[in-house]
Amino acid sequence: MTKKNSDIIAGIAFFAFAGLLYIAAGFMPTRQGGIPALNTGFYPRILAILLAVLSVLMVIEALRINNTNKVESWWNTKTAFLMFAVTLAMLVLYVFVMKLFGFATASFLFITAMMWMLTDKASRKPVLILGISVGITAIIYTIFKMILSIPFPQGLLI
Amino acid sequence: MDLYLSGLQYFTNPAMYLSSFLGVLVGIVFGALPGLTATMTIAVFIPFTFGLSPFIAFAFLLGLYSGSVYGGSISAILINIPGTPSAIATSLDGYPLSQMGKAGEAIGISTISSTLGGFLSVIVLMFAAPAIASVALKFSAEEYVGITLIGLSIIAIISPGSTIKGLISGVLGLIIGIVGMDPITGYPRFIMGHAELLEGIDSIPVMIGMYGLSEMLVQISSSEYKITVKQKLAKLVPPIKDIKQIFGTVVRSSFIGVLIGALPAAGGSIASLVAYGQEKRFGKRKELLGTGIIEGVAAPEAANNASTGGALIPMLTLGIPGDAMTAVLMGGLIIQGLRPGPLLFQQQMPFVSSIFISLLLSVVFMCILGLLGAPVFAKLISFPKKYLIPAIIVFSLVGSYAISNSIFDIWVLIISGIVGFALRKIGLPIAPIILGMILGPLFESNFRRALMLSSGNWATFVQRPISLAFLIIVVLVLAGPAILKRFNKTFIRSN
Repeated sequence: MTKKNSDIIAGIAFFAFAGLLYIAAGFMPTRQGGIPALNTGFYPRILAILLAVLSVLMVIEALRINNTNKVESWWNTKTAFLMFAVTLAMLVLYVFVMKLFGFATASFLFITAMMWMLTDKASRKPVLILGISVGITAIIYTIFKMILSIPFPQGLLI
Repeated sequence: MDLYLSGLQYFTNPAMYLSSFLGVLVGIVFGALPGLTATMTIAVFIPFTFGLSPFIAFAFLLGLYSGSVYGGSISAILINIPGTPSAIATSLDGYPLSQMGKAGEAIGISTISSTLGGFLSVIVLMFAAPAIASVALKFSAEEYVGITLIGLSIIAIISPGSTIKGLISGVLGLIIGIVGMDPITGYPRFIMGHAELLEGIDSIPVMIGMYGLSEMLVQISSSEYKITVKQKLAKLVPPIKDIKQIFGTVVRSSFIGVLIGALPAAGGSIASLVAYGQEKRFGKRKELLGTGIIEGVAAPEAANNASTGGALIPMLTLGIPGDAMTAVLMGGLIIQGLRPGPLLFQQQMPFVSSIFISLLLSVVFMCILGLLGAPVFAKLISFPKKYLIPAIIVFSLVGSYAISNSIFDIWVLIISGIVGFALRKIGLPIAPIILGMILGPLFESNFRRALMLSSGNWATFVQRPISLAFLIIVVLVLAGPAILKRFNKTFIRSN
């Protein structure tokens, strides 16, 4: 995809978002007979209009500059995309594991899993990965639980 | 004078020195690692300071601030990848120097210049801040509207990429700032049933997400994390004759740094680029710039550390961040329950004075650690990213929870990370979003207050002289580059 097309699509998306915001702001309560600028929905509407104008300008600028260079692809390789997706999944899972088993367990599992994933099959050193995971989890536990006394959700483990 | 010294009593506590030292150390390490910006470093560590007293917390955060701004120069010099945006100009002469085998010399010059720049900025901060605070007390709602507009327009202009994209980012930030209770009527806007959102979206998880998590996602997606480079280092402390040679450069660049830092929203990266540009125009050996001369390292490094003190001026006196890093620092103040602004000077002068002293202390530690520790930092740059990335992500997750003991904030973090990733890929800068989030509520409440006080008379914004001046500045900032272009064209044509 060319940079020009990417900008045009983004501009249209922002315009649509601005439109939604404008409509949503219309549902906010207004005060009859008061100064219009003081209504709850006034400021959001101004921002919506501003965003709409800017997104149109963005599209115009993209057309004018006509940058036909290719956009850097969002994900280098298929593997890169897979790693990105797995990372997202792990981020979401982290919250649930944290609630179920405790934040230290969740952190340990997360770090281990991610390091495992990011290392090439050939150069994986399980002992080193486990060692670093334990180490970092210990540091996090010490700082947040022991020094700062943050109350974490009570899970089955730590 | 007693005002300044009122903070000194807190420095009998050894924890202050330890805290500052640790801050500088961590700051230098994180600043030196490419891919971890100074802003991100401060954002990720703010949750760590939550349980600490404000004095110790800020000794640590200011250490991070000074350390990371300086630390970016290390990787800029050694591997031509600036560790932070404020070190971009440093690589221009720094890397050629290291190619000539003079990496040690370059780092030594960088350390000394950063130290001198930092010192100057503390001095200016100490004298200018109380003066500005007393003027700021006279500010009313209209003036705050003007100054927030100035901040937003500056950040839009200076962000990399087109101004329009910068402005869109700023507006997106303002829109994020709408979420929560309307400041005047109390009506909940866009909270989607979550009571946690009544106070608005917490800015720190958003910052950590957009700066930290999204950067990690970008590195994973581009397999960038696989690249590591190795390097070696020699002698470090610069000889006196070198220091004499760069002295004029350092003084000029430091002033540039403080001034630019003091402008709302403009900070270290701009300051270092402008200083380098000025060295190209006025420097004694300007023809040699770019080939690897020490002035080329001294100028940007003095400027970027000088901007740290400068950026604290609007932050402390007006509550308007001087740059993205101080925007994050403000978050640190707010979680301690302190509101930056002129009242801080009236009610919390010992704390303000301890900030001045902490900044000074951080400069001292930075100098010592820089001169002694550079060989170690050089080794650390080659630490494999694949181990670092998961660690940083987990720090971000736990840190975001810790701020308000809220699982909700973790979701904010994750969503911000994804949104930040997408925006980076589209080419939108992140800094204006953060500034928009912080300045937005300030802007809206003052805007509506001004209109209420004037009974709906919009002319009030131009009737008050200071407010009018600010609005004119906004127009100049936004239209300036375009006008200059046209001016240059006609001028050249008529010649």
